[in-house]
Amino acid sequence: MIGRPLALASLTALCLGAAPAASPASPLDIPSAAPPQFRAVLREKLHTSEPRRSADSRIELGFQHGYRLMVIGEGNLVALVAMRDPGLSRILEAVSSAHKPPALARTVTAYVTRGTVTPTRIEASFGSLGDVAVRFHPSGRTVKEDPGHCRGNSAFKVRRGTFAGRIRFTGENGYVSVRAHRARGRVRTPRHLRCRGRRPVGPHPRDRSTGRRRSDSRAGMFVERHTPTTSTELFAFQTSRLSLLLALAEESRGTMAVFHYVLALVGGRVLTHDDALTSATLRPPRPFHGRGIYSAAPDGTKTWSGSLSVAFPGAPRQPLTGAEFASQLTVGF
Amino acid sequence: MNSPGRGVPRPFAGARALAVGVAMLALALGFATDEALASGDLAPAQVRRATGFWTPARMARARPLDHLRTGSPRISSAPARISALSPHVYPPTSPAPEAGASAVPETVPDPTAVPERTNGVVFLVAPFGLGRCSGTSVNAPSYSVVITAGHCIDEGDFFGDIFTRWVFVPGYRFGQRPFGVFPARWVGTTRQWGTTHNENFDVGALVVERNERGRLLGKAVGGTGLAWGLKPNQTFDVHGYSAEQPFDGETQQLCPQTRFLGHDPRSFLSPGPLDLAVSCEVTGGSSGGGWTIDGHILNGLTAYGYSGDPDTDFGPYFGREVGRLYVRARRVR
Repeated sequence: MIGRPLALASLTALCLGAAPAASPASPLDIPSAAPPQFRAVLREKLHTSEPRRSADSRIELGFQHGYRLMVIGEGNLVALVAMRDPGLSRILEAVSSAHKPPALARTVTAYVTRGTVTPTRIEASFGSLGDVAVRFHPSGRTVKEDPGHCRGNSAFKVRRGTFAGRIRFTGENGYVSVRAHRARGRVRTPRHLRCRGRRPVGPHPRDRSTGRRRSDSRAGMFVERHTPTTSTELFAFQTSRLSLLLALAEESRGTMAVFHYVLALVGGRVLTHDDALTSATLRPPRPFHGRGIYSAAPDGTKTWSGSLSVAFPGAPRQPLTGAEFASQLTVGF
Repeated sequence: MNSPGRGVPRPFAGARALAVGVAMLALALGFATDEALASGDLAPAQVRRATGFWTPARMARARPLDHLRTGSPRISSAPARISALSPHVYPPTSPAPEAGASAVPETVPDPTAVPERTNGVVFLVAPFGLGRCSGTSVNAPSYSVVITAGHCIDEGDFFGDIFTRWVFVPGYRFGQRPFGVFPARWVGTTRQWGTTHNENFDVGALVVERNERGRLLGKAVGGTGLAWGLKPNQTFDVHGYSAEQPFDGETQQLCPQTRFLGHDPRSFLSPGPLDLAVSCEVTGGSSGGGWTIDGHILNGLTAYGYSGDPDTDFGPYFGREVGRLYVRARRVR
């Protein structure tokens, strides 16, 4: 079945959970410039449709080599997240701006494993990369949160404090390295949570003004590759003014999984294609490199080739083309 | 398999999912009946009607459950107490077979032979029409328990409890019902599948009535053993009735002695034990097909796959929740 609820602990836990607690919106909220079809698919890919209903903990480990580092615990999942983010406000400003926005990208790598998460402690092993064993010592007063997509006052109770114990982690090839005995963080527990899914994102005003008509200038490209323990997906969508790209790479490594993603917003067009949809070229800017070339033969055979790759935290050259990728090109929706 | 699962299922997810979802909603509105029930005892009248309903012509028309979603079920009976962390093995009632190693499916020449006869097709009425899965007769004091996928009992999410008229046809081949038709009188799923549709728990069970000849299922075909709590690194015989290309659903398929390959990375994102990957080409209709170890001990089943990797089959780990489900099913009078 398509997109069955993957419970929270998906990228929602890894990424939405990484948002500042008081943020008015998630960094992964899909820009309203994207047509509804694309937003729906993106939301599904990022698993952001599930409201959060359980307690979660977050340890802030600061910045290193441009990456913001944190540990997130929820349920029996513990994730160490490395992310590079231009900032939610910049992305939203760029989308709403009448000017051509610059290229902006949020890149994330999350190491996810099973562990012990309680309101007072987090314990987990990331195999050869490190481990976490900390206890929570609350300090300061309790803060109440009320997420917009949930009904009721004070849906969450947030206790800030310090996690003490052992945090050790070294990313692939040492792109980040953490050795800490104390770090600030918070534990958030749900109270009177009555969530009805995430806030709906309505159609862009221009969509409403033009009724059901869709511009032929809209184009989308989707490629994917799966093996038993890995998957790589690339989603590109563009209007006449903006392009959105989402690259996802997932890998299972024994008792740990590694999730990479890039969500990029680009001013202008990155995908060119002929009218017959028999050929197309995708050339997105950094953190992508190279270009992908799509070709559809008269017999229906599709090929996706070229030099396109993407740089994730800890995986600087993840290939996004090759014979093993399935590809799909769509326009005018 | 019937319901390719996580992320990018086979076929492509995304926009197709939306279209299919709308179509399914329209169909379901006209199809739901007062017989609808997703978990628990079935009305005797409904059980009787199911046997007569499933003619060979209707069986031939039954299709896999791709893209179907229904509502959340309610499982009334409380889980039995299971000391779950230690392995449990219930012995089979049939001897172990000899098998050569292969990950390529082969057609079982005689599905009425022992122990292949314990495998069969689960037919059901779904909102889109006539649906089908695979299932396995397991040893139980009632001689009446069939294990299948949870999504063959209830698909969740959209439409409510709307599958009806389940029957189990062991040894099915080219429309023949060599051991008769066994209508379900009780259906159930793991608690987690029933409440959250967490794919790490996609396991269901039927308790079937006697066939038209008055014989109990276990007396007619025997039953495999059942094991849970074992290490995931097993070698499985993967059974099922794949019904989509290149198969036709008329014959039983077997991938003998296929080894555990690892865990689906997306499985890490949901609570519970990690799903297993094995190398076996299966298509829609194989959902619920049994994975046996030592030739005669059920220890897994087919649940989903990905469009970009048709040679890999994914299924839930058999942990304590499967044990609880089995205990519930075997206690049904």
